[in-house]
Amino acid sequence: MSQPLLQLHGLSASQRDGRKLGRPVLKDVSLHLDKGETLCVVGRSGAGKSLTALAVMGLMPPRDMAITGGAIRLQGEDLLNANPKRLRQLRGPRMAMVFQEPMTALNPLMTIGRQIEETLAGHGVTARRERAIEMLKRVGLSGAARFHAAFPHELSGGQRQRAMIAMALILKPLLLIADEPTTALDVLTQKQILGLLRELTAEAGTAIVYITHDMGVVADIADRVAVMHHGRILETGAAADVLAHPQCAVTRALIAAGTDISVKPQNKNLSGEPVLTVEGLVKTYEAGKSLRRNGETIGAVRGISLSLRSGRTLGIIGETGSGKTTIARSIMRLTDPDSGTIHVGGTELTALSGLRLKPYRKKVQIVFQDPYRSLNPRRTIGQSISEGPCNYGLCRKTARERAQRLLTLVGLTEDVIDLYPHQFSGGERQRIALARALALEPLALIADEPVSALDMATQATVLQLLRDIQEKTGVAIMLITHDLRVAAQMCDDIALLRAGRIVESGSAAQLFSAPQTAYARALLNALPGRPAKHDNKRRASG
Amino acid sequence: MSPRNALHMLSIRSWYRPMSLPRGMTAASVSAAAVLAAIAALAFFAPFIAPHDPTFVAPTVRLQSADQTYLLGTDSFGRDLLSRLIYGGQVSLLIGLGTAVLATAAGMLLGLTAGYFRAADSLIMRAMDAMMAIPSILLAIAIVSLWGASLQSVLFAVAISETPRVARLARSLTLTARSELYVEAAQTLGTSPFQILWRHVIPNALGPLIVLGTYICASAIILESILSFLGTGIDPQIPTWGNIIAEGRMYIEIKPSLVLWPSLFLTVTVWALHILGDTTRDRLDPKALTRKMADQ
Repeated sequence: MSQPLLQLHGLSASQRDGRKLGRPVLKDVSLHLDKGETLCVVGRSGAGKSLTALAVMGLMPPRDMAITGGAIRLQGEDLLNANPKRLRQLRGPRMAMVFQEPMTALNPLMTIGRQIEETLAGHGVTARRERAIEMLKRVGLSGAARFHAAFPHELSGGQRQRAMIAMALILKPLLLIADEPTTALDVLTQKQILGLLRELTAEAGTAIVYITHDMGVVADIADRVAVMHHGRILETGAAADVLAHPQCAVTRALIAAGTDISVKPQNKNLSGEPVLTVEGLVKTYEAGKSLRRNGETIGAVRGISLSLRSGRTLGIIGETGSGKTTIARSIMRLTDPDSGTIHVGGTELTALSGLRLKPYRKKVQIVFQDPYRSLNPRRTIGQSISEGPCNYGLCRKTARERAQRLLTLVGLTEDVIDLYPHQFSGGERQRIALARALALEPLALIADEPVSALDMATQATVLQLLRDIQEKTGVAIMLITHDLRVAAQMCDDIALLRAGRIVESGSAAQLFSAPQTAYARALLNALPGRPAKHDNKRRASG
Repeated sequence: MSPRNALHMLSIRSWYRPMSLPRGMTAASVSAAAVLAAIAALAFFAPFIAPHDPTFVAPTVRLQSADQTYLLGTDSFGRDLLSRLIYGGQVSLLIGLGTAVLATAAGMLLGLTAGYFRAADSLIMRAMDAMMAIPSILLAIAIVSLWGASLQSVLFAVAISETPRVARLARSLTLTARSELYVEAAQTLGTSPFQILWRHVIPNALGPLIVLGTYICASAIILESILSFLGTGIDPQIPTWGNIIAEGRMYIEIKPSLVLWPSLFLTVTVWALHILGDTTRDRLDPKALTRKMADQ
């Protein structure tokens, strides 16, 4: 083929403020993509992957970003100098995009069907309803007519992403840009979505630019790979070559973070006394007031019993909506369980409230999933970290000293104590949240998806920090995660959760090497970058 | 940057942003601040600036036209209009600021309580709804006639009728803030409800309330003028913009400037306060904040 489908030549872009140009965000990005090819663009967050995609679609925010040089050509046609009308004509039949977060990319006030038909109407297609329903069928939404009339909030994350794919592919574009379309989904759904993308694009000969930070996904779907870092392309090549012989350190780090399942070495500390015991915990939500999926209330907990021993890490693994976070919130008494008991250091907590609960609150602490929302933006991190100790009567000066000590413990420096949260990155904020939790010297630490909002490389350092802290302080950790790789690295014991019940529990080594239930096996098989034929090899090495 | 791309930037990307003033600063906001500063200075230094005693009655010079001695002329009692306008600003600004502070404080207290403590919610908010159902001018007239006309009673009357607006906003801000993750984090750290309100909820709810405060300041100045105009406000002896307009009304056919000048002062002050409120709102916009954060 003489002319590539998509060609980026020396594309550069900068942040802008009015007419002033700020920090460059894309530096001399050159890429090409042939018809029907799948190119994975990988890199950490902030590497410029999404910006490249937005530039191709002509969707870069014009107020904040400016293209400063280079060219983008789709079938030889210059996209940077195309007028808005021409770009609108191209979007849909020539190029389309699937976003990371389908809930925010879909209009909550329009039915799925109408949103798909809107795309068709914009390009003058008739028989829109039939085409939309046909497309919904093809993306595997059985009972397409029902989904056609559904609003986005009535769908699960996976279903929404399918609807987005239907919308993107309905005009059979030549180019599909998928920006981390499965990052927010659990592994089983991710596997289905990747399969669906492969199948539909192969049929129509659509080329894909697939943006991800997950090398496992790359191994599954990519023909070629481009590794981005700080707005630059570091390395491009055939997927097999790059995965087998990575040229630069960034690529190697991404591969290491993405495809290894390294089970944590056996924890010798078996004698740890139970610090937190949960028995028969039930929390259901009132019918009609909450989201439902297949008639089951999402996030409900139906009789959970757990025991957390000091110096050990218990992993709670489950898909979205399986009730993981409800367990954490019940233990923290942010929500009141319907029944069951929670013992902390021998005291039953569910009967206590208000001031009588206060002495026990400090014994169990929590690190939340979202480091951007868990710190008060208007308080310095020193104030945030010393808030707990001050509540328990420590004087301000001592609390500040403790905060400084903790900042060093979590790998930051003492002199950042008077800065505000927005001056830190996500990973640093999660360290601060960890320091805040540790400031009360808890017996048990609940970490609710502590790294899922972070990119792979940052994840690794935060997880390492958690391990170090457990070694130093002997704190018991309850790690809530949907990510099996994280669980494998971190946990001594694992409880596998599904629809509010524990389906399998036991030592991590056992679960990863010889899973007992069909569900556990399905989860392990769905891990990206681990095709079924390697199954035996993994079991042997696990 | 290649010339072609520069052209492209100008043609497509920035055509709708013709001027780039510093962010948050517009010609309007700068002049509004200047106007307010001038009026505040006039009112504060009135005894030194005003050319005459605003209450000195001189029947021989009633309804004079503007001249060297009386720069804006005199009213029907021979009092100097300019001096009365300058002193009138004192009352208007006092009422405006006083109401903004009182109504914001009271509304915040009620709104925070309603928003944070579920038990108090319906009780407080239904009372606020009931107050909002009465037109604020009627409510103010009722309160003033109950307590008698004086500066304090007018101040309280206006503040009370503005309070429900603040309470509503404060409640909704509190409801938003209390579902924030950092509020839950504070709960797990053993922070008591009052400390949570003080440390976490109030600082994050203050911005919009300050903006509302500037609007309340403006509408309080108008409300006071209306009360004075209707004759239920402050003692007609004391010069206020509303009182001056009310007195000038009888002579509007002979000497329209008696109504025009105080109306102009009133309009300009209220305009400036609104512009200031808009500017503050834009600056406190969470999007502006995140943009600032992204720049850092």
